[in-house]
Amino acid sequence: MPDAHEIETNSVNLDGTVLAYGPVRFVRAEWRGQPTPRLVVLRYAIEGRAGEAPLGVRLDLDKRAFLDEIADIGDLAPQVNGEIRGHAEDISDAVVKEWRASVLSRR
Amino acid sequence: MARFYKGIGVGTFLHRTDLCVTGIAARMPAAPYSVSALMHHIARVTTTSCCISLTRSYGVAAWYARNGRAISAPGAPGHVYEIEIPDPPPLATIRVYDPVLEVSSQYPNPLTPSFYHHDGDYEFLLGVVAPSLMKTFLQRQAVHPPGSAATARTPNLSIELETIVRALRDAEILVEGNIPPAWVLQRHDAV
Repeated sequence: MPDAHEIETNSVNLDGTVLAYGPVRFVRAEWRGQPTPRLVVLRYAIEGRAGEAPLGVRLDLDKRAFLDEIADIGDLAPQVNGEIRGHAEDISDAVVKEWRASVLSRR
Repeated sequence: MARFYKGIGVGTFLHRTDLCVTGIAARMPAAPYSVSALMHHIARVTTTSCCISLTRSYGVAAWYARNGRAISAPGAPGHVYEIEIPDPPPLATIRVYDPVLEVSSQYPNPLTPSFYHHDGDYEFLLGVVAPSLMKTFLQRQAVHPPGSAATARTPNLSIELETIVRALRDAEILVEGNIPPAWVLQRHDAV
């Protein structure tokens, strides 16, 4: 196995996108252990609260499906999670688009 | 005996538990097993199933362990569990399914009109493997014989083929029933 220090953590900023669903706004995609994004952690902020939520939600870009649900938004959770699940394909495309743009900008 | 692995990421459902002590339970152990349930578990991420996902690959398990609901770090690692299942397993309590075999065994006769194959070009499968990164291969039109007058469309993609592809990606097998703690041999940190 590679040494922990050899395993890179990658991230893509999603601030330039409009990935907002109810009070939830996705701000960053992170992944670790491979150069291309396949399974990413989407970090999010909740309207009216400071900073990012401590945990994100995993999005499998190959299956185009979320592996987790957002729980820290009270009664809005069922509606918002349903909306997010319904847009998993669009969100996957947006993450890959931002990743491609970030790769091109580093060249 | 057969050796399998399970990756548990930081902040996910089982991360706070030591599976060497508790064993592993499915999310919905009372749900009925069927090939359809297996396909939805793998290809549609229906986690409310009677099955537990394991992998033959330590690398795949470590990939899931590092990418939990927060990225793993030396002070907050994900975990990879080593699991050994006896051969044969005690069938009264547990069944082990190879998803590729389960799906393909539904189509024992290649001469029947129903099949799991696609009818795209040789690069179509690349789009199935990585639809976000290689979407363009999914969007090409299926090619038909000259004069067939077939309606223009993209190739056939069944949940059967998606299940086979996803299961192969993750070297995945499914276990129906609870995995007892005695079969969970050890835990590794993945950072």
